[in-house]
Amino acid sequence: MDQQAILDALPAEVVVLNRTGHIVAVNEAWRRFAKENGGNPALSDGLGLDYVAACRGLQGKDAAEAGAIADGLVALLSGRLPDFVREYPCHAPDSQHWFALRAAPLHDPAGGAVVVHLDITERKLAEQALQQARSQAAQAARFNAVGVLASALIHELSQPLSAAGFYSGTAVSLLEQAEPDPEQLSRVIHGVEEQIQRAATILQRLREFLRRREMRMRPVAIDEVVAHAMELAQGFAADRAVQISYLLPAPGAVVMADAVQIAQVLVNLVANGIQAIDSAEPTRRKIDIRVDPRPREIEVSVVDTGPGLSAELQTQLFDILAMANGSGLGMGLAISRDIVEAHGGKLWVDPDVIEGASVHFTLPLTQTREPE
Amino acid sequence: MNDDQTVFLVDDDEALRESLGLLLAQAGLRVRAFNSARAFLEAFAAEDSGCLVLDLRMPEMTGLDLQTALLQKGSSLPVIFLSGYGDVPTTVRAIKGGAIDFLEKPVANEILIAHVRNALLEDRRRRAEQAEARMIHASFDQLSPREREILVLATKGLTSKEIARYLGISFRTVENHRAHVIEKMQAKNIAELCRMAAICLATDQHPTL
Repeated sequence: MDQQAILDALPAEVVVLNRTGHIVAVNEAWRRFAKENGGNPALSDGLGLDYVAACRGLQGKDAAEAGAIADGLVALLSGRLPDFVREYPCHAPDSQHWFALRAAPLHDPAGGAVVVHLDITERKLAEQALQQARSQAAQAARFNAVGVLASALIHELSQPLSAAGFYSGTAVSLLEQAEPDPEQLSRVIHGVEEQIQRAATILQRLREFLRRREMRMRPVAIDEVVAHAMELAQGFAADRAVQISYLLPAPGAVVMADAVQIAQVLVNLVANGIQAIDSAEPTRRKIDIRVDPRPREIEVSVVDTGPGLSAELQTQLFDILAMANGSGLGMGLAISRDIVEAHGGKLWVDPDVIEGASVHFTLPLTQTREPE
Repeated sequence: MNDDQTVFLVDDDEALRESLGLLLAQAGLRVRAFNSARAFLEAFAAEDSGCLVLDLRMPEMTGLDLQTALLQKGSSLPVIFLSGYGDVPTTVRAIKGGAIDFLEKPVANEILIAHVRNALLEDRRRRAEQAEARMIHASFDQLSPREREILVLATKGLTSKEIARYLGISFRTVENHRAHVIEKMQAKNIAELCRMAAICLATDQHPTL
């Protein structure tokens, strides 16, 4: 069997090493590659060359990578490793290339190994493009909280509408009977009325939430504001399988605030977190809200398990948002910060978090009320 | 038509529970309503026949969890999911778990009732199928090892003569066994016997030969 012909027929670059790491055979693809890259001329046919030493001898930016490859090959040749695979970049001045080196021992008493270099540039470029698209989507999602209220509307309104529909159907069916019971009929129709009222209340609350209006400051319990915001965001979170928890409630903590505006801030922060989580698909899908009482203020934190904010993004965060979101719905962080500052508080993004993003704001405390 | 069947209704919204319960009762269906998946699972026994209408806004248990719990109880109760939103992942999970149906709220009364009636028919069909499979398995268990061997060969299309040659026994012995198999399995003809054998050999612990 002509082994050289077999080797030459392979499209990947192949080198066969003996036990001491010297080249005993190379194939046509290898020779062509070595020539095109203008490397060490000894490598281009390379027979007898110490391949491991040549890797170690490499200087410059590829030295570390080549050193790691040399270590791997030594381990493989000495039988300490069953096989060895390493992906490495090998960029030309005008284009990017990646290769996967795959080495396997020869099943021969004399030892040795076969080393194959595969061009994986296409796969690497595809991975990079995907990564980039993901992080762009994750960032774009942070700037948009519009979906929250639509979700809340669908979730909340479908309840009374459904119930009213079922009551009406029951009423019709009762009337089709020979002798309808007037008392039962009245009770069922009353049910329809109640459900319509329930829908009206939901609309009223959402309308109030959306309306741009003068600030109305009054003492409000922060727990109630958090509960209200969570209720509004619940549908949006459930649709995206994100769990919202209120850790560390602060019973009795009262701030002088416009309750609707602070709820808006919270909904906005929670929505940002939900969208960040949804775009990145982490295994943990949680948002924690916590309230830490301080002597003169409270600190409210919203922490998500999303991809987090890069340092670069953090610096632009407020500017971009100020430009991008002027509508009553997509308030963005800039408007949230304005609202908090109008209340005499501060809003900031925690730069040092391990997981996800962590946004905080403070509100001055007016008094402490005993829990009722 | 639904004398022995119950529509189990699980809904965490009181108004929905009451109104839907009334509507289904008005349609002549027997209804039992629960305010949580847990309460329903505690009350439900595998022999209970009917269907489940599931509407949970903030489920302490997903549709899939509930279905898994039902299957663990040995019940293949058909489930109709009511949802306020076309949440695709949940839908897909529900269907993968074996749910037969998924409706978005608000749903027209006639459509909901039609789906409930379909689910009840499906439940009846599944139960009949399971009862028949149990009977066939019981008959199969009565066969001797030799009879099983002959059943398998016969349902593969071998004639008695071929079976006799294959097993090295007399034609008459094969014919005798064959008659016993048909008798014990209570099969009307060889075609039915083939169907029964397929049910036993596909689902089960009986070793193939």
